[in-house]
Amino acid sequence: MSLLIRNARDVAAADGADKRVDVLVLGERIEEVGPAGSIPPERHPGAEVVDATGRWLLAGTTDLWTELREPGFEWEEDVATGTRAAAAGGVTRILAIPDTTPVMDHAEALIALRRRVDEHGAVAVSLAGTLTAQAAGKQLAPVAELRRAGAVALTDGARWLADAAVMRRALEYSTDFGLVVMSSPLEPSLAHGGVMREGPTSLRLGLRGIPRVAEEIALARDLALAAETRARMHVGPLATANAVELVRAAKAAGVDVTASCAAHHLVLTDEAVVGYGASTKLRPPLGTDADREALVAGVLDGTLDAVVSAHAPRGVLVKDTTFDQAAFGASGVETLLPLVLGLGRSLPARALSQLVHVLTAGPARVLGLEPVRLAAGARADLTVYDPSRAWTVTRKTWRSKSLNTPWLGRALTGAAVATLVGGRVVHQVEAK
Amino acid sequence: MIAGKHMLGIRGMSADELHQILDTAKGFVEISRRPIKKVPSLRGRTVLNVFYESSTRTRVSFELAEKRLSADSVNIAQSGSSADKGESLLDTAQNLDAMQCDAVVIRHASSGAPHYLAERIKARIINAGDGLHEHPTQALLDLMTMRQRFGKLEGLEVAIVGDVLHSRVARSNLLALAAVGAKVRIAGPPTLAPHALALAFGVERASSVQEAMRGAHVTMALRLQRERMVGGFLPSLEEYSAAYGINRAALEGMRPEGILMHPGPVNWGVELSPDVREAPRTVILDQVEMGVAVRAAVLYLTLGGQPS
Repeated sequence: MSLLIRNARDVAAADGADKRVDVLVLGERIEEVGPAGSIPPERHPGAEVVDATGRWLLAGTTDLWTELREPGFEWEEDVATGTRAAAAGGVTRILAIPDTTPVMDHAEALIALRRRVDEHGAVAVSLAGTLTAQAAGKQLAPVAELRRAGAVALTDGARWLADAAVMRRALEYSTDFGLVVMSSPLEPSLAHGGVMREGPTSLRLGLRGIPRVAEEIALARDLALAAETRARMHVGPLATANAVELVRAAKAAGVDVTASCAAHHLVLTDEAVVGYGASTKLRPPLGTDADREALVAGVLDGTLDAVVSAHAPRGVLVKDTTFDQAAFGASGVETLLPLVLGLGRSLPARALSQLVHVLTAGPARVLGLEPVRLAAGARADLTVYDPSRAWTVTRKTWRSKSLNTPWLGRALTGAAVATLVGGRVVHQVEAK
Repeated sequence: MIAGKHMLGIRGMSADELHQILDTAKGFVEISRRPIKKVPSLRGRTVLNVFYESSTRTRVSFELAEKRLSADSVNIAQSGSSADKGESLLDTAQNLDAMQCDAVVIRHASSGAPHYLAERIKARIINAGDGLHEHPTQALLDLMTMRQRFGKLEGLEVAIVGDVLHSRVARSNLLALAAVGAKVRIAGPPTLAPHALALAFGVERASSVQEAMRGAHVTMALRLQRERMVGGFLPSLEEYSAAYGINRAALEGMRPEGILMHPGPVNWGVELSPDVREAPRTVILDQVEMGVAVRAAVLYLTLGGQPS
């Protein structure tokens, strides 16, 4: 099978240059890349031609936080729906966060999930094992075994490992195995009982707050341990301005740490909670506008390596209720690209390549993967993105099983019009 | 104009709207003092009182108001663990809607529960206290009590004392008093009356109860929930009482005509010393009387009645 993408804008090009390319895909790989018009369709009569005029081409979009909810919570999401949602969102690779039952703390669990992914996965899926047994934060998970079973990362997901001694050993132990340890910092005694960011809005709404220092204290400890153990550590998603500053300082001091934030936090603030819509109940909680600006600045100056979707599908039983009773999380893999790339509309043109970076090469490097390049021989994980396509989030347009998104009923601009994974078209919308 | 609208909270209401409700309530005070305490204003209308949190005073006050307006009312009390409260609210909403009632009076432990219902059912919703958020009819009855005493609300100096952080009564009063142009100071333990809250509501914070009460027209003491101790907000009730409790001597720092209010029920010996119980400044029972009239006015207006 071959496919020719014509006249697409290569948005990874530095300084916002309007670089147009033709890309020929043959089988699983990119066969040829040249300036727009350099690959005439006549030369490849068998190839399906995609006219990408006015569209952008992204290579190797990667989301470091997708909860597939399988096994254990299939009424909220499963491998098939979660990866189809990713494909529709233009995401070619996801890291499956191991918040499952059974827990991903032994080889059989990962092997069974890999089998399900091979059978039903629409996009590439990287697997993560838990950092501790049962993700309970007490005892190390079998790192060597998890790595053999295919894990590329270790994380207890949204459960921050509060025991500093266990975390220190987990970091030390993982260093020889080449796995990245991912931590989502939120100090539990400070966060306890809180449902949104503590501040004027939480005080007004009468909702219990999570103070910003809950993130900063946990992050500062993580960074200190990363510095001491020299382990590969990833922290995020982060949500406070001071957290960005702590990471910036750690990186300047030479600590081998990478960091991320979630797309929602680049766009929304705690003001979104007014009205008590449970889909705005996120972990970490939405912050102030100053936090939001600091996160955007962190993306632009490279302090943050990745922006994640924090895709957390949750069903109506736990979401269609009052704010304080509702579960944390939003379904987000379908809004990741429009939210992040949409920031470009209010930024200088040269910012675009950095926005693309945190969706592609940035997260790939966090996982220790060679970034997908728009070059001959590379794996054809490609997204053709229409930056001006308008769409509205509705049950009909949504692919995830769970509709817990702050964008329900709202119009977004920008959408993937074609997604290729290993040369296979996994998502395509009809031309309008 | 609040006629025909939900009563979810004080936020967003203007001084005019608040005074209109109080003016309407004035008529109902008079009705409550008659030997035959009943008017046909809401005859044939159905009101459901849904109390997910135990309450005697507020529930009885609403019930009396409904009876005096000739509404048909039914009480639904939900007791159960806090965990299943939220989950059953969707079912409750759908059931209430199917029953074709005209108004639902709701008390719930979750902030925003009345807003949740308002988005899902056709009946008018009246908030009888939601979590830590608002208790609008309490603020209205407090305004009513103050207005009766002082003949005005604008320019009154009000001290709100105690556990402001966890108080929906305080939040509704802070909003209502700001709207009518009163000057508010809060005071209490820094863990329960924090600076951040004073800033969020645009009021002053006094560093002691005495300072807050000095020269005030009104001192509003708040109920202290004993379970706050578990959260570690306070060292002990004894210390609270000694440092932040209000006794007769403290009342003397107010204006000569100043009054002491409390939303009830009072923990005597904790937030209020027993010696203020019979003090002439104490107007707690006036508040209770105004409560019935104000709730009648809110029911009447919410169900489409015209203000007087």
